[in-house]
Amino acid sequence: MISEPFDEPPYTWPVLTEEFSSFLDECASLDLPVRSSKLQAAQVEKIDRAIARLKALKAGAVMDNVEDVANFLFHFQCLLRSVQSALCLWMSLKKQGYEEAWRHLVDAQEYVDVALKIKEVEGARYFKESLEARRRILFPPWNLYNSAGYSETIGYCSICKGTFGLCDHLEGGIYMGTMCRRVGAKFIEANHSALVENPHDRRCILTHRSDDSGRMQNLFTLEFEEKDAADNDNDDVAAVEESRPMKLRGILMTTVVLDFD
Amino acid sequence: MTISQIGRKQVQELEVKDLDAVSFENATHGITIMPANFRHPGERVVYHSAALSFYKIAKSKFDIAFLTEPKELLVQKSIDVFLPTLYLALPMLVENPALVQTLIETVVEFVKGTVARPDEANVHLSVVTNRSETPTAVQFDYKGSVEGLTVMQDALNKALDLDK
Repeated sequence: MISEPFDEPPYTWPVLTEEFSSFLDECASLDLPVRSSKLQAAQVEKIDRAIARLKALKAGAVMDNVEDVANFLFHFQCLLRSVQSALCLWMSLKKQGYEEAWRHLVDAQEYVDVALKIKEVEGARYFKESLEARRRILFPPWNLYNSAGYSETIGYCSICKGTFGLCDHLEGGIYMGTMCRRVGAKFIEANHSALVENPHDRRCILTHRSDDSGRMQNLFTLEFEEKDAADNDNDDVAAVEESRPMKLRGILMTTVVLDFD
Repeated sequence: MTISQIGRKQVQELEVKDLDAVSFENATHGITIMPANFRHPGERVVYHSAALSFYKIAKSKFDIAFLTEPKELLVQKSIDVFLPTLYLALPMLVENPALVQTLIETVVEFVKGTVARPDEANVHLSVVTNRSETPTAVQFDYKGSVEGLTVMQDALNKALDLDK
């Protein structure tokens, strides 16, 4: 086991990649549901410390204007964040935090997608497939998600901090080890909300729906919630009973900001 | 509601329709990025959120401009890529028929360079051009994979040939 990765400069590239591979193997050894949550939680913290040091190395590469190295370190960072999210997935599942577990899975998938966008690596591709397998095996096969449409101001570029419309950076592009995003945009108005098969944010799931009697069913566990008093009152009205609409409860929008800096 | 489907669907659709009562007289560049709500001129102007990054890639390749200065963006939280509607001036197309291919290549470059999972995304692209003999404009609406954009290219080239 590595005491603390990326903690003994000076580095050569072969030493860095070797240390990264060893640390990734160490993390992967805990990427199983039967592993101790205590050890997994400790590893999650260790990954945070490792990423802080990777970012310091990345800052050095940026100062030296070596974009290839900065992007490769960003690839390491995204892979570590993906594995970290996978460990969080198991911890959440074991304490029956199913919605939280789902969010961690989506985080892990989004991190590995960016890692693969930077560099196609067999191990990362295998890990992406492993995450997809977890989605199929551990969770219901969601086929509808919430998707919100809204308007907002243009905002600023996360790379150069200038007005986004005036610089040359592309939203979603990778520059010097960071991903460009539009930040600081101000919400103007909601446009629509739709149920879609292919959302941008797969965290926006439907978590509950009502059955014919109006009881709300948890779509993770399939357990029914106790009906509240207002619903019981409605049961007395036959006309309402006949035309009872299906109620859905879910996540409309999230404000998750992943670590792409 | 059923919850039994796994995976994602990719479709491929191309619809061609005439556009009446829409004026493009302010679209003075070779290619003009139209607002998302350009068919409703009374509304506050809003552009698709992908329009800015698309413009940044495209401006070095051909003459392109926004119809008006963008100040408000429409964000659609979908894995699909909603490109802005593009108005292609007929004289520019006649003068430079290779523009259609360049445009499609630019769209492909944009999607592959900015989308995390380009192979899974449906691309939504609308192109409007006018006809030489009539005031009517024609709109091509494409929805499908990034590889399938050649369908749009073929349809635009065919329309151009018919108009000669």
